[in-house]
Amino acid sequence: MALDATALVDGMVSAGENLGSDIWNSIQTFAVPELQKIATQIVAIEQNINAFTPEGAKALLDMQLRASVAVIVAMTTLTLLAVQKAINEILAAIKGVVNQAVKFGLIA
Amino acid sequence: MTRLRIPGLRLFAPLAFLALAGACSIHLVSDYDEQIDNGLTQLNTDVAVFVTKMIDVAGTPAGTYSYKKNDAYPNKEFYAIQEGKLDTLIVRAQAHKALDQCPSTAVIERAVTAAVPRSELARYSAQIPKDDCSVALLQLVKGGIGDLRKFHEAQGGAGIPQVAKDPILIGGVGALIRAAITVEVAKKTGARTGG
Repeated sequence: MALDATALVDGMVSAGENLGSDIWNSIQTFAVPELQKIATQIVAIEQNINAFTPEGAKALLDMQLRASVAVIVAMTTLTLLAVQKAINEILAAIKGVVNQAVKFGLIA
Repeated sequence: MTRLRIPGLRLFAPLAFLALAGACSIHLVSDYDEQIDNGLTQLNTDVAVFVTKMIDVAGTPAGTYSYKKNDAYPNKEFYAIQEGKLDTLIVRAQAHKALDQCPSTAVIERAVTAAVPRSELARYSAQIPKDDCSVALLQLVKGGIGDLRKFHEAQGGAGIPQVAKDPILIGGVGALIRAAITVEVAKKTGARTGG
């Protein structure tokens, strides 16, 4: 059986369509609110600076910087997760058609 | 040809071809680990309880980092115990890591280039341990506990004041732990993060 390119593309496209919305969803529901919370706390530290020793204020600010980095690392991980899911769905979508065409299990 | 517009995705495109060429599924993120999930949830509770207790006794000896009771240092010990537990979670994450390096460095550089001087970029990028994303995230959480320890110690007799509660639990360590929990929950539920 010859491979039908249109059917293959349709399968891959429909499997990959969710990728954009998954990534955007993770940015909207997780990263933006978390970065906003951290920014608010940086302002709060500055407003209450007299309650802290200089070294204490520095440690508290370092904590906010580390938290910002962690939000970005988490966002990257969520993106990787969405990419992994989409690619594996693409592979699953084309598996039957490709294996039938070549008459052996090319895609496991 | 249409270029991928999401910055990180260009990094992943070759992986997709590798997956197709290798004719197998791809693995970019380590698998869900129930013990890491539970450990992070417990850590969130323990930190919230400890910080609230320290705020209640701020300005008294019991609220200081070096408080001694019955030949023990309970406040110092809290940090040692949490760091030990995090080391165990890091070992578990390393045992089934998917990548040798998390590609966040490039994302962070893009994110902060407009906001901070170039000389500051390295400071941000250096915060990311060179390891799998899940391992890097847990190491960042451990670093946050270290920041909390430094803060507590640097505050001397004042201890942890009420005004530090939100910077620690809503920003700071709270945000670090939530980031790690969000990733574990997403692994468990198949990349959904609520909303």
